Amino acid sequence: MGAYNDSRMDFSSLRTLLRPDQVLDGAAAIRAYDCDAYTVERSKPSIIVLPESTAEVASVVRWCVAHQVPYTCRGAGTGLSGGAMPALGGVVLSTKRLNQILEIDLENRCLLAQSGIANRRITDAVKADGLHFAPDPSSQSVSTLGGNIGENAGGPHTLKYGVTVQHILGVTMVDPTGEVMQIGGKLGCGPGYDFLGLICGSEGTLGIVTEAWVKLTPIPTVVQTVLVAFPTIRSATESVAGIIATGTIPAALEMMDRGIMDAVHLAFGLEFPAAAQALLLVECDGDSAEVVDQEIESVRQVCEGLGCLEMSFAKDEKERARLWMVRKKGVGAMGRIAPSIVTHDGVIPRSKLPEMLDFVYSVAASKNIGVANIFHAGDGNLHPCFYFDDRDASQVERVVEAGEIIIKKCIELGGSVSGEHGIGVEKMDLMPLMFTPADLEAQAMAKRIFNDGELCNPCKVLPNQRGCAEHRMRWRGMAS
Amino acid sequence: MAGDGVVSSEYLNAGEYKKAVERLGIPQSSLAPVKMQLPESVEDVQKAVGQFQRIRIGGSCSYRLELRGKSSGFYPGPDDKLVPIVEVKQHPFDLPNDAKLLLDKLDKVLWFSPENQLVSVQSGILLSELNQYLRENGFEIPIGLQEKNQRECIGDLIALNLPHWNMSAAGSWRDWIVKMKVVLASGEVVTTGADVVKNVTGFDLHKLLIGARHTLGVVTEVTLRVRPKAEPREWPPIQINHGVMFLTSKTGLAAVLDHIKDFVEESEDSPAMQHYVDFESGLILAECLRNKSGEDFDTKSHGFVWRSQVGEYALDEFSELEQRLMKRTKEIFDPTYKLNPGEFGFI
Repeated sequence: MGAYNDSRMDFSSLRTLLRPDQVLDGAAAIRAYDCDAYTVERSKPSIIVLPESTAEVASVVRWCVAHQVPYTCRGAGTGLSGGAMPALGGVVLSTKRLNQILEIDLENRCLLAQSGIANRRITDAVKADGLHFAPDPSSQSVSTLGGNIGENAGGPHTLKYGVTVQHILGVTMVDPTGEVMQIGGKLGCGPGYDFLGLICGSEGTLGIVTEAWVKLTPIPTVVQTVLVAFPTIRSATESVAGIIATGTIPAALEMMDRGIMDAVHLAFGLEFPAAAQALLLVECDGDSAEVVDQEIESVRQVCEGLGCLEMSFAKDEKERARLWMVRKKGVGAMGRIAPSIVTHDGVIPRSKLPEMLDFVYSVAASKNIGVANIFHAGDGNLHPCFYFDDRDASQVERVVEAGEIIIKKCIELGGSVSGEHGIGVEKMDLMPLMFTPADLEAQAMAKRIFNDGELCNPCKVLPNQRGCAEHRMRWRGMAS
Repeated sequence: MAGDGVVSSEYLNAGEYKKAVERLGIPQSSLAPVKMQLPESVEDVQKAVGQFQRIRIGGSCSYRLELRGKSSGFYPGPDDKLVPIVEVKQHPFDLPNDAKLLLDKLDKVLWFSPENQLVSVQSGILLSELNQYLRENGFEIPIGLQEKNQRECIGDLIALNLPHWNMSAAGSWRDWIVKMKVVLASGEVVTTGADVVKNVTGFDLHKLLIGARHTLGVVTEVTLRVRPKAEPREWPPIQINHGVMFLTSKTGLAAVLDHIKDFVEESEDSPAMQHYVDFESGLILAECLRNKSGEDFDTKSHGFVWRSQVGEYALDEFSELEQRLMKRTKEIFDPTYKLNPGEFGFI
């Protein structure tokens, strides 16, 4: 295999497959494509290509196979676990120019698009017709459909509407040998093994999705949004468990703590009750005002029963956008508090939220680092954000230790190491904490159905892959 | 153990089957010559998978599906009692030394967590029993299968992944399963997924096992999402026995319905070809009969995806690519074709 930094590698024949403007290999480009939004580990590609069609992707992959050059697909690079990092160098295939909507079928509520299209553009294309693409990761204005499929992306509204896999009907994929495959289609999949389910969330290790049929979901006609302030973290987390236990499934149930409130106040001037230690953003929607009113009423009863301080209802779209700003801009606003932030991603059973949040604060205190929490409480999907100064090696070390302790606690409480950011390279070492060697071998068997080689997005998801261990120190080293 | 025309003593000693056989006066000689295994634990399943070279897997209630209506098992009779099927025929792919692994004794609810809206069960529990338990606690799994399918075990229903009345609102089993424990053909016991409602950790092996007709592993335990119980909904009283189901686009609905109408007019002895249409999702479920000319209803002429109610048997129903991928999958997970030989044409 053409190994990392192999100076003998000759890309001239690859260049003949594409126009010159579809190939990047300048120093700035190499630097820009050496990681995704998980910047702790980096690995330089040799060359970046920008294919514009499935056929071009296939020809590049076949070239890589013929020349035994590793390759990694990349969408917008917003992934948070290093899934698009070219771990063994080689070729990065950017889907940036695969950004067209190919067909809209309003009657059947589905749409065919190339995989490099930004998530939000799909909804923008059909919003006027009362439809939307339901998966809504926070990165949706830039993150791509292909990236969403690779990571099986979630978002605030997945509590009610499900994650990406539930909204994908079929894909066109270039497999790791360069063969173009249609899996499923406009009408979804037929009987047989659920390959589409396996491909969604496989982090680009089974091939490169170039086009996808997506389901379009009607935009609910009735929406009620309320921001609830609580005097304690525990009263907020207990309210989450209480709301779920009533049987109400809000469209979104998000939680922010005092750290986030302070950051949002500094960044945008928003005011919150002085005594508030936690906020819950609850949204209920549907097509029946009566049902939505009932849901909001049960939310109100639970929150008041647990001593909430204040409930702010959105009276119109503008107010709704303002309430959502706390959630959507919260992480960005953290930049006001400290120079560096690391956002973790773990899942626990929802009933364990009160215990888990207490644990997160105690770990941060014991490690003497700052933490703020902003997360999908309704799914039990935590995102503790540690804020620190990465110029201080001791702080970095403590942040890494705190993250591992918290993820281990998620497993101990019956949860999982990732709810929506994926494993990538970031969490490979944590996989054996959750799975036995036999479990991991079974996952490797599933991977082999499509990818029996070591070229397509190597060294991701599964630990202990051949030829990867010696590169790990290099990835970390390049980030420092 | 198995002899000529006699079911194994191990099987007969299992209380309710013996009583049912005696009550109905079924001669033992009419039962299938097979080695029945009634595991009560994951370890029992592991042992059976290790012991036999070829194993047919399922709950006794769904054997007619496994055997294309030529069952050697039992069917749910009045009062939900299991009744042995008198006319016993072997599965076309059964060999004399094949074992049958019945999931019936793996019928426990392992835990139920209303606050997390999750339930964990063994795979032999009947969907009707599980939903009765859940409804008593205010919850349900809203997979809208017709009544007789509700009386099949979760393991079989997952293995078949049949289309159902409530697909537009409730999706398929893939939308409700978060974790599985599986015994692979190698005898390894593996876990996939986690007891949480949102999870992207590793490859989703459990999705591959849904609809796999017990050909890639024996699912022994499942954790499922549940939802608050809704008002009971009456599903159409259509009994689909040997028929077909269509999952079609809304665009194609009118054409398919016209086609059904034409076909009904030519059907031999039935006053109508029963069918149910969900205009919301574009789903048609239909009991397919032969017409006077002895022709089967053409399931492939409208560009829709079709699903047989009893499942598919032969790989030639699939595209060339699907066949290739499915064979590769089978050979990775079950290289000796031990599990459910014959299904999907793996023989």
